[in-house]
Amino acid sequence: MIKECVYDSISKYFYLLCNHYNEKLGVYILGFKESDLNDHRFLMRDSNKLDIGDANIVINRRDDAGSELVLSFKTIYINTFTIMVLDIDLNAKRSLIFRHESFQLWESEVRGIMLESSKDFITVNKDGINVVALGSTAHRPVVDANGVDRMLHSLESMAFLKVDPDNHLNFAS
Amino acid sequence: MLKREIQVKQEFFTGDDGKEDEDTKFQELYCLKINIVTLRELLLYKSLYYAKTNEAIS
Repeated sequence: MIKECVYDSISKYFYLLCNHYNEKLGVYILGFKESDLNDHRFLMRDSNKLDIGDANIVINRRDDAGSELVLSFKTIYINTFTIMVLDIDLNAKRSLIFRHESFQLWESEVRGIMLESSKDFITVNKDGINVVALGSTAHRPVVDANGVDRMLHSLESMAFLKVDPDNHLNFAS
Repeated sequence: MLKREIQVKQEFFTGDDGKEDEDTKFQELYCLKINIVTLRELLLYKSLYYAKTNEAIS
């Protein structure tokens, strides 16, 4: 079952986030060419037998050269909200770049929004607003809801932890 | 309870070239656990930084 769909006007590809494939529940991300529907590729197949909801997909253009797919969804039973950043370059060997997991009750509604100008991913739920910096700026000062000055570090600023450029980082909070 | 972890993982597939298994798999290379520092620990770290000898750490 298709949960969310997005179209990339540069690569002329449609990208789908589905929760059902071959009679198995899970997370399935695939892209197919606008001109040839048979030309498709899976970016990720995870048959974890868990349903997903409140899904969202956006195309993030980090620079002129590369584009990324930013997906977000909540997962039943394990009560998490996942943000995934995938490389959609057709020549990329490994697609996943970052994964961010935080607590989110399945019964409670949540919405993910990508801000184009600051490259921040905003999560809105009943507890308030959470910000995850997906841009290339390593850190920048922000003021939280209580007026306290804080430093917002981007996920990319932790890329030095990778052993190999093909690795990906999973942030579990 | 917050986990506060950063896991470094590697994506891989099993099976022969062109006939890979369906599911994407991940191997965990290492994991960093971030603990919240208490005021007592913070003061100890600061004293370690400023002290020139072991005796100077109070």
